[in-house]
This record gives sequence, C-alpha cells and structure tokens, in this order.
Amino acid sequence: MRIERLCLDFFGQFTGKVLDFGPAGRASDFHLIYGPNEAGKTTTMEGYLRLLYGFAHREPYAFQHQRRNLQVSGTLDVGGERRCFTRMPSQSANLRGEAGETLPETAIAAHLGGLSLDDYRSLLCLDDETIEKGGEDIANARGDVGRLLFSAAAGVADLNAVLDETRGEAGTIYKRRASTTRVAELKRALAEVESAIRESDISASAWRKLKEALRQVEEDEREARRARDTLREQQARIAAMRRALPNLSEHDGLRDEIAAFDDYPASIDINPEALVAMLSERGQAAAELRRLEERRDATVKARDALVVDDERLALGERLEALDELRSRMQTAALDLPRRERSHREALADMARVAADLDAPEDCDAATLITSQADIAGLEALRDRVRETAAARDNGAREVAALKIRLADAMKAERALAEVQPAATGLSDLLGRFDADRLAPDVSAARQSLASTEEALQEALDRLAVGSTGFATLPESPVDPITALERAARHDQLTQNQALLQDRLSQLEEDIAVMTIRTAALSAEIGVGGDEQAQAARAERDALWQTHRSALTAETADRFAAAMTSVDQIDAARIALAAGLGTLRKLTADLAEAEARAEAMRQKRHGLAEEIGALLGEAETLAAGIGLPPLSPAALSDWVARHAAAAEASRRLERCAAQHAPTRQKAEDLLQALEPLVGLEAPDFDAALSAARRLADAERAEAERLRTASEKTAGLREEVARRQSAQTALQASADEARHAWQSRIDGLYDGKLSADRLAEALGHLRALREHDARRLQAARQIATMKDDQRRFADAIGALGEGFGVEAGDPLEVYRRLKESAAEAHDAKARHRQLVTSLEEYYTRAQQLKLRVEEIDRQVGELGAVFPKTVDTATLEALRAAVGRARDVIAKRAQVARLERLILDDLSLETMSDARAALQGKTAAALEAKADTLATDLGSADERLSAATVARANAARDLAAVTGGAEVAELVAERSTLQLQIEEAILDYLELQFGLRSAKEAIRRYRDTHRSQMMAATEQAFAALTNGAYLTLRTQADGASEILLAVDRRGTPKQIGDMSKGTRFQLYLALRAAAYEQMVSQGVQLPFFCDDVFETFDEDRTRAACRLMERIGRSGQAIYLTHHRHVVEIAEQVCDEPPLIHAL
Amino acid sequence: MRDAALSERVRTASRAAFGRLVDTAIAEAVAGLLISGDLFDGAERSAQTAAFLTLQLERLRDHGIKVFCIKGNHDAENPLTGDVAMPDNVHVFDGRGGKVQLADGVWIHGVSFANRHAPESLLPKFQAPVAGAVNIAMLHTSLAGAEGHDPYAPCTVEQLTSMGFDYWALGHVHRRQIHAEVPWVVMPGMLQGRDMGEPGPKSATLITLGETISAVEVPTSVVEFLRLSVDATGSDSDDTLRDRMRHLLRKTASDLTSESAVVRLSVTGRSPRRWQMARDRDVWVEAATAYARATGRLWLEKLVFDLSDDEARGPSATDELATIMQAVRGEPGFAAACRAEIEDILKELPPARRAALLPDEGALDRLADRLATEGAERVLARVKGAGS
Repeated sequence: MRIERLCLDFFGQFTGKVLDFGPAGRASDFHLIYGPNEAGKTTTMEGYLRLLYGFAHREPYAFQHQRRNLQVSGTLDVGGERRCFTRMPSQSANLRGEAGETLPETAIAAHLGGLSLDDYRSLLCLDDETIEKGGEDIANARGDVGRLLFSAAAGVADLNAVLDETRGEAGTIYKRRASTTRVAELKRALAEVESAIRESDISASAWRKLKEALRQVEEDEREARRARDTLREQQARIAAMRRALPNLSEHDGLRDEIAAFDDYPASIDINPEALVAMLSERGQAAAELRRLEERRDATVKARDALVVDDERLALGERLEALDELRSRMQTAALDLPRRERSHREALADMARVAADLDAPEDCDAATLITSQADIAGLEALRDRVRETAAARDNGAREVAALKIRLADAMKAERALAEVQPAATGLSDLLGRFDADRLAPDVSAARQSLASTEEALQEALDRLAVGSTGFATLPESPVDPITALERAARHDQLTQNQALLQDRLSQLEEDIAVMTIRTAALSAEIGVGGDEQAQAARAERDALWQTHRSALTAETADRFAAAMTSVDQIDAARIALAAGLGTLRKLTADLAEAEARAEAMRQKRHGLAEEIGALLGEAETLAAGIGLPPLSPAALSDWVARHAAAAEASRRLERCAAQHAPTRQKAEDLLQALEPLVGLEAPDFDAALSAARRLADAERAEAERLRTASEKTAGLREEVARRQSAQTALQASADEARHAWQSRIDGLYDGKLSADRLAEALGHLRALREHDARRLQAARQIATMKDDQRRFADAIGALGEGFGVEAGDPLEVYRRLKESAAEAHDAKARHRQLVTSLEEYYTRAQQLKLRVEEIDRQVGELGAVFPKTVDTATLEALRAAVGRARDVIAKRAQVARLERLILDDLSLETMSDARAALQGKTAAALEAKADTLATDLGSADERLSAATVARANAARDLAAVTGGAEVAELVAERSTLQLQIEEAILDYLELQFGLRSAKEAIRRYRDTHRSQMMAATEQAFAALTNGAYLTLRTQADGASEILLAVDRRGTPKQIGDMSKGTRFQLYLALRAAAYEQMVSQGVQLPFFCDDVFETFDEDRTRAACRLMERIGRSGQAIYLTHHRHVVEIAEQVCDEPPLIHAL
Repeated sequence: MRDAALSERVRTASRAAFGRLVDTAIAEAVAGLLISGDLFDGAERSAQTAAFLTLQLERLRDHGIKVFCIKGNHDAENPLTGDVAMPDNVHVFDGRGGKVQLADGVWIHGVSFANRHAPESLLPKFQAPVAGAVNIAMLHTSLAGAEGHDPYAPCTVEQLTSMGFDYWALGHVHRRQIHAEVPWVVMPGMLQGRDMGEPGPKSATLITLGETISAVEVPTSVVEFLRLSVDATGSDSDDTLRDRMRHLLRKTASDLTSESAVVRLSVTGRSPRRWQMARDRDVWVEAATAYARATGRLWLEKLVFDLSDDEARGPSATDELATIMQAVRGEPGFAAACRAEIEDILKELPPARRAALLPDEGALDRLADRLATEGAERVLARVKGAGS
C-alpha cells in the first residue's frame, strides 16, 4: 500500500492542505516534506496515521478545529487499485468511501498487515528519540545478534532495557541466598511472626494449669507473709528497747544540769543575732560621727579660699557667638587661591570658544553669550533648513525613477496588445451549455448506460446453453411459474422413482434372503417337512386300508413299517417344531414380499412413464427456441435467467430514456465546439477539455493585457502628482534658508558667520557654561574676603578689653577662650563645696538619733529577766540571753527524750518505761537482735520468692486474655505465607517469560539472520560511506555477537564503535527490517521525522541514499526542516526525491 | 494483605462476627444459641481463643441464654475442645446423643462427632422426638456430600424430614442453604468467610417458635470476600474502563451487606488494548486500589487481567516472537525445566501452601503451563509496550 494523495481537510493548524505524492512508478518512491519549524511536518504524519486508524479519543490536534469537525482524507494505492477514503471524527461509522458511503474498518485495516497503530509507529515511524534509544540499545545488547535483529524488526528501540528491567524485577523478588529480595524480607517477617506466636501462644490445658498454679502460690505467699510479720514485731520491740536505754540515761543527765535555772523564763523572744547587729551598729555610728566632724572643718576652709570672677564668666558666651565666623575664616584661608584659579580658567575657555566660532580677535567673548531660548530657536531653524533640503532632493530622485518605470510599463503594454489572439467566444459557449454541470452528468449517464448494457449483456450471456447463445433477447417458450411447477413435479417424480427403486431393491434383497433361508430350513427339517409328513400319513393310511382288507403278515409288516415311518416323522416334527414354525412364517413372509415387489414394479413403471412425458415436453419446448434438449429443471433455470435478462433489457431502456436529454445536450455542445477546438472528430470529453483549455488561455491573455494597461495609467498619474509636489518642496527649502540667515545677523551683528554656526551650534552652549563657571568663582572670592575682615575686627576689640595683646586674630581668640574656661571652673568648684557641707550636717543628725534608739531598746529587752541578772548594757544583755537559750534547749531535749522512750516502748509514763527497761543491758539486747535478724532474713527471702512466684503465675495467666493477639498473629502468618507464595509465583512467571523470550529471540535470529544480515550489511555500508563494508558474526557462549569489518579488514565490536556509528547501524537494521516486512508482503509507507539531526554532511548523504533505497522497495517519506538535507538529497539520489514544501 | 487497616479488620473478623452474634442473641433476648459443630478450626489451639470464647459464652450466661453445642469433625480433631472449661450455661452433647429441655414444650436433640471421621449416618443415635413438644435436632453433616470429599455423617434431606423433628439445625457446609421448610432443614453456613474461597456475606439463623416456626437470616460477617468482574469489551479508551471499574465498585459498596469487603477484581472480555493493560498493570492496580478505597468500604485484594483480543497475529516481529514463544512453551524440555524449577523453589513455601498449590498429580503440569503462559504474556506486553 502507498499513499498517493493526503488531504488534511480539518486537522491541526491545517485547513484543506493537500500533499500529492503522485502515482507509483518512479524508480524510488522517496519523498521529502520540507518546512520550517512549526510548519506542520509532524502534523502531516499524524494526519496520515489518523486516516489509517481514526482519531484519538482525546485528540491533541484539535486545537484549531474542534474535534467534532476534524477530517482527513486521502487516496491510497492498494495493490495497484486507487481508493479514496475519508476519516471522520465520529465514534462509529467514521470511515467513508469516495461517494461518502460508510465503509467497514477492514477496508483499510485489511491492508495494514495486522499492524496496530502502536506497531505502525514503532516499525514505520522513526524519529530522533527512537534513534537515540536504538543506538543505546545496540551498545547495551553488546552485539548480541538475536536481540539486534529482533529489536530492529520489532521496532523496539530498547529491547535490552526491557529485558534487563524484567530480569532486575525478578531479581528483586527472589534470589537464592539473597537477603534483600522481597521473598527474603517476607520470610524474615514470617520467622518473626512465628517466633512471636511461639512466645505468646499457650494451649488451653496449660491455661487451666496456670489457674491452679496461681491459686497455690497465692496461698504460699500469704503464709510466708504471716511468718515474716511475726518476726518483724519481735525485732521491733528489741530495737525499741535498744534505742530507749541510752535515751533514758541522757534524759536523766540533762534534767540534773538545768535544775539551777528554774526561774529563767520558759521561752525568750530575743534573737542573739539581733543583739550582735545592734552592738555593731551602735559602734559604727559613733565612729562615723567622729569622721564627719573632721571632714566638715576641711571643707569650710577650702570654700573660703575660692574667688569667683563674674565678668570673665560672661566672656565665654561672647566667644561662642564668634565661633561660626572663626570657622568660616579658617576655611576661606584654604579655599581662596583655588577659587581665584578657577576664575582665570573660565575666562580662558570663553576666549577659546569665541576663536572656534571664527569671531574677530578683538571680540569680547562675553558679547557672544546667547540665551537658552535663542539657542533653541537657532537649532529649530537649522533643522528646518536641513529637512527641507533633504525632502527636495528625495523628491527629485523618485520622480526620475518613476519616469523610467512608466517607460517600461508602456513598452510592455504595447507588446501584449500586439500578441492578443482573436476572440473565439468559447467561454460564452461553455457558459451557455453550463459545461461544468453538464460534464459530470454526461459522465454519469455514460457510466450508468455502460453498466446497464453490461448487465444486459451478462444476462444474455447467462442464457447461453452449450454452443447455443443469444445476441438479442429471444421469446420465452413457457412462463416461469409453469416451468418451475414442471421442474418441481419432475424432481418429485424422480425422487419418488429413486425411493421406490431403493425400496424395491431392498425388498428383492429380502426375498432372496428369505428364499435361501426357506431352502436351508427345508433341507434341515428334511423328513419332518409338512409335505413328507402328509406323504407318510397318506402312505400309512393306504397301507392300513390294504392291511385291513388283506390282514396278512406282509401287509401288517408294510403297515407297521409305514406306522414307524409316520411315528419317526412326527417325532422329528416335534423335535423340529420351532424350525417348522419359522419355516412356515418364512414361507408366508416370502409370499407377501413377492406380492409387494410386484406392486412396486408396476408403480415404478407408471412413474417412469410420467417422467418420460415431462422430459419429452421440456425437450420439445427447448427445441422450439433452438436450444439443445433440456431437463425440466434446466429449462426452469433457463426461463428464470430469461426473466432476469428481460428485466435487464427493460432497465436498459429506462436508463436510455432517462439520460436522453443529457446526451442530446452533450451532442449539441459537441457540434458547437467541433469547429472551434481544432481537433479531428473529437469525442465529447476531448472537445470539452480542449475548449476549456482554449477558453482559459483566452481569458488569461485578456487579463494580462488589462493588468498591463492599468499599471501604465497608474504610473502616469503618479509621475504628474510627484512633479507638482517637487515645486512645493523647493519653495519650502528656500524659505527656511532665508529665515536662518536673518536670525544670525540679528543676534551677532556680523560677528559670526551663518555657515560656521550651522556646524558649531553646540559651541554657544559651551560658551554659556564657561561664563556661568566664571561668575560663580567671582562670587565666592568676594564672600571669603568679607568674612576675614569681620572676624579680625571683632576679636581685636575683645582682646583689648581683657588685656590680651593684639596679633593673629586666631591666636587672640585661643587665649581669650582659655581665660573664660578658668573662670568657669572656679565657679563650679565653689558650688560643689557648698553642697558637701549641707550633706555633712544632715548625716550627723541622723547618726545621733540612731544611738539614742539602740540604748532605749536594750532597756526594754532586759526587763524579761529576773532582777538578779545583769542586763544594763548590750554586752550584759547578750550574755544573759545566751544562758537562757541554753536552758530552754535542754528542757526541750528532756521532753523529746521522754517522748522517744515512751513511743519506742509504746508506754504511757516514764515510770512504766523505767520498769520495762529494768535489768536490760545493751549487750543482751544486741545478741537477741542478731538472732532475730537472721530469722527475719530467711522469712523475707521466703516471702520474696513466694511473691515472685505469685507475680509470675499471675502474669502468665493474665497473658492469656480473650485478646486477639495470637489470632491476629496466626492470620498474619497466613497472610505472609500467601504473600510469599504470590511473590514466588510472580518470580516464576517472569523467569519463565524471560526464558521463553530468550529462546525465541535466539530462534528468531536463526530464522532471519541471513536475509536481514545481508540487507543490514548493504545498508550499513551505504550509511557509513563504505567505512564498514561487511558484517559478520562470532560465537560468544550461547549467543552470537555482531562484528563490523572496516575498510582495512579489521573487525570491530559494537562496543568499540562511536555513538554516531551505532546510530547508523541501528538505522541500517531498521532498513533491513523494512525490507524483510516487504518480503513478507507488508508494504507500507515509511516515515522519518528529522532523524538526521545529529548526522554530519557525509552521513546525511548516505542516509538520503538509504531512504532512496527504502523507496525502491516501498514508499519512503522524510520530514525535515533543514534546507541542506533537501539539497543533499537532490544531489546524491540517483532519482532525486519529490520535494513537498509546507 | 498490604493494607494495614484491612489486614487488621480481616485478622479479627472471625471474632468480631462471633461477638456480633452474641450481641444479636442478647438484643433479641433469645432462649438459646445452637452451635452445630466446628466451633473451632482444626488448626486452632490458642488459649486466647478459648478465653475469648469463654468470655462470650459468659456474656450469654449473664443474660440467661443457654448454649447448645455438638462437636463437628474439626472440633473432634482440635485439642481445645477438651480443654476449655465451658460456663455452666453451655451444654455439649456427646457422641451417644441425647436431648435437653430448653423451655416448656421445647426440646433440643443432638449428637456429636466422636472423632474426626463419621463415615456412617448418625441419625440412628437420635432419640425419638418428644410427643406434643417442639423438637429441634442438631446435626453436623455433609448430607449427600460432594464428589472427591470424605462423607461426614452422610444422610439425605428425605431421611431428615421423615424423622419427625420440627427443625434440623445443621452444620459443616460453609455456604448457607435451606434444604426444606416443612419441617425446616437449614444449613446456616458460617459466621464469617476467611478468604476468597468463602465469598459473599455470611450469617446465622434466628428461629422463632410460635404457632408456626420461622427462620430468618441474621447477617454476622464483618468483612466479606467478593469476586467481581468488569467487562472491558467495547471500551475504546482507558477512561471508559476506569469509569466502568469505578461504577462497579461504587455499586458493590452501596449494595454491600457486610461493613466492608475484600475484592478480587477481574478484567474480562475482549480488548485491543490488552497488551498495554498488561504492561501498565501496576498503574491499573494503583487505580483500582484507589477506587476501591474511595468507597470507604472496599479493599482491592488483587486485580486479574483475563483478556483476549480480536486481532489475529500479524507478520510483525513481535507477533512472530509470540508464536515462537508459544512453540517453545509447548516443548517437553521447556516444560520439564519449568517443572523442575517450580519444584525446587516451592521448597521455600510451608508444606500447607505447597499442598494447596499442588493438590493432585496433574497440578504441577498445570501450574507450570499457567506460569509460563502468563509470564510470556507479561514479557511480550513489555516488549510491545516498549515499542509503542
């Protein structure tokens, strides 16, 4: 199949875009579709694929036209037959034929060799990405021939990646002894779950035992606790007595110590620390008072020695007022020389600019200063002069060019007028007959008549019997219904006859069998037969009569012999009774069968006669119209065909009548055209075609002359208009020049020339800038000198008033400043001494008050002691308080010891306690305690063990809850087992799939190696410009690897090739695969979409030749946006490709 | 199951279903609960299960509900059966059979399995029905049984209906079936399916004794296992198929009897896109999982592609490869290698799974053939997919 014409009616950015690939027949069917980026090359390829396979559900090319409006059509060459198809976007019935009829999908699909859209893309559409992947895949295949051939033939660019990825995936699922696979992970998880089940699961019987064990250990624990508690009580009592013994001794000692101080208060609210603080505070206050008095006397002396001068204090403020003036004077002393230099430079610059403007030498540059407004006015005037002059010059040049074009146009018009042909009136004639509509009508009429005539001829041909045929429709000898009835009757009779014959034959066979069986039975029965029996009886009866009448021994013997014979026969008959019955039935059946056979024979005869009559009638009828003898059935068929022929004849008449007006009109037009078209006895189509050509030529010539005349007239008008405009331009230029000169004269009174100024108008601005700089410098110099003078005057007057010698004003200023500062310092010192004195007096008063307060407090505190105790001074009070506190503390200790003893011994009174401890010694109690400690240790251990046992049993039992943990673990174990199973089956699936694929690829290689290798070799040699001339294979373990042999005969492995060469090898493999497809009878257009992107010029040449080669066995279509590819293809191909521009 | 929430729910489903049955019994204030055997799975031996059961039976006791049990084949082989100390509201019939009065005029009859096999009928062990009372009989039986399976206390429905009992409460078969209504012969099925082999909602039966006896199905299953199928025929795009999947799963979720379901979804029918689907299996599984999860009640257990296409194999290299692969698969050497590898690798599986995978002599051949065929399809799909 090839594409002859592709029309992108409504698709992508295209509307009605047609690509005509032309008919087949060129040596190479190679096409180049060229267009810039975004021109729609890929869209074209996609449009073609839509024509074959329909529109996508989500159509990416529905961006300009809505999806429901998309349409692609085209003409396909299918096995030499041209067929038109249109693809619509509807969901069903979207393939239409030439006349808009719906076609089944198989109308195209049947010719696609079973390729799906994806298959088509991968096998027959190459692009850069595919080549890139293919090149990489070749490297990855490490030259494995099977994979290379299969990858190329299947259009799978990265087969190796697919297989490696699948192998990798299988490896991640399972690998023996690996620890990171999915199966290994699941097994680990399973082991953990099983371990958890073992740890946490417990059986129901064990559960019951646990309950019993818990009950037992709880009892043990209670018993152990009781024993231990008893021992503890004893131990506690001994311990209490051991503690109480020393306490009682201490208690009695203390009580004796404090007996002498009973009149001391029970409690005392005096803090000895506070007394210490008071003592310390009183001493510090007295010392500070002494120091204050000394410092007060020294301060009074210093204050009286200081002198304060108010006049000099005011000097400071006056100097502050002069400070700014002093500062400016200091700056001016530095800046003044620089300003004066700047003033001189500005004057020099102005003089230089005046000279540049060609002003007279004695001219003062200041008189040339021009205002900004005047400069702007001058610029406007100068620009106007320039613009008007340029407009005038352009106008003149254009008028000259127009005049030349006018002369050329007039010459062309005259030439056309001379070659105008004479009018034939063909266009009018064609219009009058409405030839555009008449032509298809005539064609349709002709086709319709031809097909109807052909149908009639076929119907007449079908009437032929043997050598007897009919050129015209003969009369029918009989009507179809009668013929059909006769044929049916004949058929029925023939069937009956055959049936009858079958049944008769069967009956005759039965009769023969019965006859044989009767004879056999008769022979078997022999003497026992009916006839023999009757004969024997008759003989016996006759001999009896004879004997009766004779009554001799002889007759008696003969009668006896006859009797014996009859008896023997009867005995035999009895023995053969069953056989006899059968024989009798057989005899009766035989008779019946023979009667039936005879009746059938008579019936057969009757049927034969009737059949003969029907045959005779049919033959007679056939002979009547010259036909050889026909059976009634054949005659009926013939009559039916005759009826069809009669119908075809009537259809022809109707068709002729229907198209008669069209044909007449065509005839009239032909007669009218014949004298005009200059053809010898033309037919309608030829005449019409020639007339159209002539009329078109006539119209085209007239159109060209009219166009030429219009062009001449237009040019003439343009020349006149431009000349008139030129006069106005000249006047405008003169007026501008005059205005410019007048303004110069007015401003500079002849000191400057207009031409010089036109070129150097910018100098006027420079002059203004230099003048401004000069004026500014002059102003600054004057200001600085004034400041110096005013400062010197003011400072001189002040110096004189305060007795400073006149001199440098700045030095005078400095000395005055120092004098003012000294006066200020003396004033501040005086103020500070007065403040200090005030503070001294205040502090001395505070200290005296505090000493009096402390003395008062000592008196109050001493009142709580008995009169006999000395508390007059702070030191005495402090000693009394110390003693009182000691007594109170000992009293408390005695009470505490009492409580301890009574608490320990759990007794109420000290006398009870003394009684209880009576006779007890520490040593005896210690010995008793040691014994108890040993016993208690044992009891504790026993209890501890019992508690542990109880806790363990309780924990074990508590672990058995109604919880679902174990059930969940068991379920999880099942899940994990299922997951392992799934994973293993998954792994096996992939393994088996890979294994069968590997073997299949190997066999594929064996099947296709020789043919594809040869084709690849040729293509590769062409693509590499002969750099690699042959390909060969080399065994590599179970597989074979591919080697390319270069020009020098050196074999090279794939891994040693450059990236570009690997791409070329991939392209060569694809070309070979294409040839293989063609050899298998699948010949479809092959598309390349700018795959030569990465090729240099040499390789592009080779690739073009390769495409040409593909075009020799099929159709090759290359889409590119590189102009150089087009040029190279045109150069290198034996038959240049057809170029289609987008 | 990789979904943690689902895994949790399925793992505890059997207990939840039993708990739900007990809830229903308490809510309906029933007089008795009849358990016709196989209270325990044959493999179940955890004391936790016993503790859970005891707890639930005690709940019934607290509400004055009696429980009647007979032992089935699984109970007979289970060590728990003898070790669980049942609460005093539970009566377990022994292998000699007997009858117990449930209420005035209502008698419960039952016969237990004495051991795990009962090849003979247990009907002769039943005592005659009590005259003038309602008689309910409990029997664990496979009835007429199924070919290839051992018979368990075999008997026929006709034999049951002719014995004069008013209600036959049967056990053993996991699928619910009502064999007769006069008198009632009811196989109630199980409370909760355990895997895809036990699909559909599961239930118990509520018997009400009045002037007549009624038997109503009471749903108990928390999770049900469902096999669904979506037909890809005529789906011209992935979107259409996705819509069909979504629609099917939503409808299933809205019609669901149990709270949730585990779904095995098969994509069947004819589709020219079968290769792409096989290639993009992971994407489809993701999508179907998401659709199921979006219902809030369904979880996808597995997505199975069971598709064929209309296209005859063409002359393309891939089709040729497919043909060669098919021929390779048919060769005895290849099949033998596959079988050997399966036998070798199946050692990784626990014996129970091995036995389930290879239940009979021909199973290994069938498994090898299936794996080889599906594996070839997967590899071909990837090869085709890489080219498109």
